[in-house]
Amino acid sequence: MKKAKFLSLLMTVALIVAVLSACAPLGTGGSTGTQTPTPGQSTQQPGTPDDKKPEPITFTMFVAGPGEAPPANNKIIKKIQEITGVTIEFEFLVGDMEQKVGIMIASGDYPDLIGAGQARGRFLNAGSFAALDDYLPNYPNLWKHYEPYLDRLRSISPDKKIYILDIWGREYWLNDGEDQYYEGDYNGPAFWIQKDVLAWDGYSNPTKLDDFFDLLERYYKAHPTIDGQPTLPFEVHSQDWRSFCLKNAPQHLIGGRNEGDVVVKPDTLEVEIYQNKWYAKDYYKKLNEAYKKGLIHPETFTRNYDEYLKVISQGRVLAMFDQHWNFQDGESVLVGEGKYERTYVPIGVSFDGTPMPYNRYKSEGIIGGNGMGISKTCKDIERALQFMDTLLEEDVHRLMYWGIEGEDYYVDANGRLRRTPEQKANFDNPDWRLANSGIVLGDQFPKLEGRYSDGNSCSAGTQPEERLENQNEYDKKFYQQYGFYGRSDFLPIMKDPGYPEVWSIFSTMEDDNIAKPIFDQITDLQNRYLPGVIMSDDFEAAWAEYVARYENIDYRALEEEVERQIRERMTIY
Amino acid sequence: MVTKSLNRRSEFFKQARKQKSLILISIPYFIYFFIFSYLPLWGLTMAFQNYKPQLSFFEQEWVGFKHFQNLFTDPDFYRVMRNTLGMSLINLTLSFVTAIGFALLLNELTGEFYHFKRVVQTISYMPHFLSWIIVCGLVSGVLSMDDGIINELLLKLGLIKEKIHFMGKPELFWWIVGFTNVWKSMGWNSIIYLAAITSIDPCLYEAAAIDGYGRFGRMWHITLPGIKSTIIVLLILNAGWILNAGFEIQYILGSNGLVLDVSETIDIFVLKRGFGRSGGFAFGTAAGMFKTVASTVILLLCNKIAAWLDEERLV
Amino acid sequence: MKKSLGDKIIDWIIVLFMLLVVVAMLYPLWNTLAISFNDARDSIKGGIYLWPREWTLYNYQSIFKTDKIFKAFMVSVSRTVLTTVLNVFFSGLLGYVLSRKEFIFRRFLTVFMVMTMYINAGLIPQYFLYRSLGLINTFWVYILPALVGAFNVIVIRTYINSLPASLVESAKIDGAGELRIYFSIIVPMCLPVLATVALWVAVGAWNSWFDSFIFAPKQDLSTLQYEMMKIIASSMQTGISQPDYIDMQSSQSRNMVTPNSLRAAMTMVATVPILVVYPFLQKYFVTVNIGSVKE
Repeated sequence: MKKAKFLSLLMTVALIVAVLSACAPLGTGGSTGTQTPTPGQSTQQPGTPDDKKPEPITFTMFVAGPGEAPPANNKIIKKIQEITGVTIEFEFLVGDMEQKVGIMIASGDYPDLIGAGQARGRFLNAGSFAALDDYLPNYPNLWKHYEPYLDRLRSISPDKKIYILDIWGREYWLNDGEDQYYEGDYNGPAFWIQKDVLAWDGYSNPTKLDDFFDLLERYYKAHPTIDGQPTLPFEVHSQDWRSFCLKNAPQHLIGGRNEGDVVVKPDTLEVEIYQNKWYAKDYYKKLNEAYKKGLIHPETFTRNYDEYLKVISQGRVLAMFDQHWNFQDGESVLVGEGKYERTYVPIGVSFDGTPMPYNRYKSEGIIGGNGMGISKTCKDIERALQFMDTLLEEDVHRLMYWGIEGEDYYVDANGRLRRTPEQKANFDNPDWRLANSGIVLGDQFPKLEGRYSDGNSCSAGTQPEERLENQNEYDKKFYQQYGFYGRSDFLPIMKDPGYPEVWSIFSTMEDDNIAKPIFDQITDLQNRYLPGVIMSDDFEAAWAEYVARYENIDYRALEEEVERQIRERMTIY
Repeated sequence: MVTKSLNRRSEFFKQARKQKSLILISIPYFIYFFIFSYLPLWGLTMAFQNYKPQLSFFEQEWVGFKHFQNLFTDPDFYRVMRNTLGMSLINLTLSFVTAIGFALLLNELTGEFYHFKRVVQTISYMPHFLSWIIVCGLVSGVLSMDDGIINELLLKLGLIKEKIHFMGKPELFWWIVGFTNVWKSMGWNSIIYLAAITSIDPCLYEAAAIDGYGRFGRMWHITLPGIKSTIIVLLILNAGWILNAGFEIQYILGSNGLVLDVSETIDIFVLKRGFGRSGGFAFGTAAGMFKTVASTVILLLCNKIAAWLDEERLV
Repeated sequence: MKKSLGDKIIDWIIVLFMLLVVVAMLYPLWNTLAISFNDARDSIKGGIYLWPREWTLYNYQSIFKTDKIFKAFMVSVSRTVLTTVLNVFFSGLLGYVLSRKEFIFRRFLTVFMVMTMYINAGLIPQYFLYRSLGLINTFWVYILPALVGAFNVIVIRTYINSLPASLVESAKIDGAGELRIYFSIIVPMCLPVLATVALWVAVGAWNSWFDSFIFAPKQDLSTLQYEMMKIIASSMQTGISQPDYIDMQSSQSRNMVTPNSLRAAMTMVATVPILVVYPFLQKYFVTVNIGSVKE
């Protein structure tokens, strides 16, 4: 009795205290934005890192994408800490982005820095970032980095201020005629085909859609199995957001860039949804034929991503439409086993045989919105910008992307940065990189791409000497047959159309933009019906039904909206 | 009249005085549930707003029943409800029947099989600890056309002539989900029945044996009635969960176009519709509110039915 | 009681059936174990069934490369133990209170409690609540919301109801207080059901990661499951960002661990502790002396 009373009294008191404190913020919850610091009023002098030991400071940073925080004893990050005094405490996204970001916005509990990633639209619309317009000119490296593109930075925000600093796409070139060797290999969308299939066909380049599938059929007949397992002539991966493998080919077949779900007419800037147009129909008809001939296995539509990588790594997938980064984990197994003949090159397939560039174009500068921002609750905006400015110093940048001279790379007699095979092997190991390289830090901040002022590549992987040395015998011979430097040469280069890729426009659209629900609807329709269309007995009937459903969607409103946005951006790109 | 109600009231207080310590113990629970479950319900007001997270409560735009209208006029809503209820019923039936059956059979293993029984029990819990991501990987591996063991087995046994594309057949999808659930949770769900069985008086079995009941007779007449109250309470509780048909398995295994029409549940629907769109949170809240209300109604209904049948009631 | 021939045949049929169940249940975990010890790049090719083809500890090494995992392990253990003890205590006590048929608030409290299983205010109000209670980024956010489980209470109450009422009655006549009855009579009698509930709570607490993700993302409070989710998410590096923006340099090098193999190794790390514990709890499910309670 006594005990019961005491216990319940204790609990009651504790809980009443809790109730009282819980009731207080009711209704006012989520009121943020009153403590927004007013930037620019106090133009502080950016302290130079050299003259005095910088005061230590820790910034928290949320990155709206997957990743792994480097350990505190990472040697490069320690060095950078010594130089700048700054420690970055990372939190990478683990679960569902919408939930995490939603909570962050609703509560106003922001970290100091935000890697916006795919959540850029949400953060921008919620006013999460501090405007940087007045700060940037004070930081020489950042200013040099962004000054040519200020309009692009501004274009993506509702009130046309600078909130997000792009972390990719700012390239520095020397224009000495050698820049092209510093480009990375083409990693984008294409019809990728095994080298052996081309070699077997006398090193052909089947750029005509009919020829492409004809070659697959002939090779399949001659090689029904590969390493004892059934050959899979053409894969159409269609899981989740990776269904671009299923849907995106038609835009390239008529020469378009990778815009996503629309095609933009280059001269008039007219926008059209293409999944119901003749070129889509012709393509899916071809796939339907291929399916009936057994060139496409029905399981391709139900394979999940792991299984897709598995069949690729087994070397029995002859070809697919995909983007290289999407299947390279499977291909790397083949490389590891020395089965170079089963690795892939891109073909610029079209309907009439004209080679198409697919997504190979020389981009000009940043696109805007693709990067990180400083939250309006950041504890010290100047200091954060100062840190980012320091990271753009070539010496510091080299430390991050090449490492420590003598340990991670050496400088040869000609002043070229080189790596021994061991140094390269170290670097290629993601675990080693996490513990010993600054890349994990650099990847989240503005960075230099292209070439340093001394001519070396801004990052080790694209140093031309190294790329040539690393090419294996099979590839050397293979590319010699074509007279190519690497796989990129299979595709012609497209002129930059002068507006950002359309899918990126979608990702910064305001939440209540009219085009958003329509976009969801067509995505859903395509994912739902296209596999069935490809597998149908009666293609014409299946296609007619699919197109009829398309007409129920007000896709013209989406086309108009996208066109409007492209025109708006054309003026600044 | 007056005296009667006075009497009742004083009777109540008399009772209350007698149960003082029970009441004292209960108070913290009331407070606890109130704070952690009922207090946050103010958030349901979101369902009637054009909710924008960055605005405060008083700055929100009120839209009345707009989100509910959108929900109930959406043809997809009826499709996902059909899927949810269909899969739920299959799951509920399969998981009850198998878990109870498994518990009954395990209980039959006595004497020299004691240790065997313990090992079986222990092993049968294992799948419960695997995450859905892993389970889904296993399922699609086992059912694969490529080298899946089920297809191989069926072929060898001559039951089919050519391999079945399990994951691409809409008519099979609900059953794949159902049996995956059975595999994952049969052993685990049987725990509660096994615990209930241990509280049955062993004398009853002896008496039944003397009355000439065989193995299955005893199972039917002693064991099952002995765990009836457990079964009924669990049935009522689970009825309230009928709109939770699962999320991960449908999301992972059912996202291809071939089975999408039958795989999407209400939870997936909410996630897809709520994704970054205006009113996303609000729409999700409205759908969640619908789920809560519907679940409660079903729960109370089942409870009533149990009361009519003069069985164990939940509340 | 001697078993008849028919009984023996039935026994063996059941045994045979159980063996099939065992194989079906065991194989996938065993297979996961084999994959976790197999070279990741080799695993991608498939064909790993019962035994690793190319032995390696690398998958495990890459999980344990920092002491983060050990710290997270400790957080997981403490939250699991504390939650389990408290939840079993509070759920059991309430189960006892609600089993008292004469209790005047019985129905009201039951409805009040059962409703909590079905109402869901949503994440944002929940966050605000925890923030105003000062729970965000504290260890207590793992514990306080899980003090009582409505489902557990129902299960315990049902179990107590199936016990003879005379026990409590006689104790009351002896003048024992409620708490004394609970501790000295109910708890010993309820060991099987309390052990069952303990196992449920423990598994739930051990396996949850979502609360870390939303309410306690601080590194010090990270749990094993949350670390697992982090590793999975980061090994799917190419997963979220858009095609052209992935750092070609860092993704060009070969991944030595694939998501699949990591997942396998992590499943083992996350599962083994609970696999080790539950057979001990299981003991309670069966060793109850039911003979002592007679009406």
